Amino acid sequence: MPRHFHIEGRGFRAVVEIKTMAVRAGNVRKAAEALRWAHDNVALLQTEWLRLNRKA
Amino acid sequence: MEKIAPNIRSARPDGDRRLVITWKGGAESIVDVSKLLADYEVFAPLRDDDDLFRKVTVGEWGWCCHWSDDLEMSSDTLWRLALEQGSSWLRAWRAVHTMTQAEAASALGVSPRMWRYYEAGSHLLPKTVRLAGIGLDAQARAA
Repeated sequence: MPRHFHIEGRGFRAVVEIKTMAVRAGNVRKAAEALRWAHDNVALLQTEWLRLNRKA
Repeated sequence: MEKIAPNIRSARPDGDRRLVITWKGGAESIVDVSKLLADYEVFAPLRDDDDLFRKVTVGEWGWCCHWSDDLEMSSDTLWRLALEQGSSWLRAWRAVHTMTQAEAASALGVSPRMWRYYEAGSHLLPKTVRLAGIGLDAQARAA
């Protein structure tokens, strides 16, 4: 999987690619607010992805 | 568009870095997460601390196994491992018995088509099929 984040809620989840904000899986119909936040915080998402995916 | 894995109803630790996961719908998988723990730096606490590993819970809405904010495994990842590991288990079982897929399917009472799906990892290996394999071996040993 390319660098991505998850949006999760009751009964739905989506996987979104950070670079393109393309929805790789699931649906974001209920996630407009989270997606807007993600658009405004791309740098933070990148940093966190790198931190959490560092190989041992 | 990739498919979303089912969410997790319950999870409990089982032995050395394995999780028994019950998926929404009731299917149960044993998932060995030792490689995942070994591969990522962030999981170091779960590698080193047996008691911490045993404290696994299900994350909100069932979309992950959770230990702390940093220590989570998504249901997607766990589902992929469950498919892969079910498939390897079944292929290894058949290799030990030197059976064809059709023979093995017949021996465990599974349709040849479903057997192919389980070996290909496109369908989750049911607990019943794994137990049937173990049961047949136990019966053979007892005979």
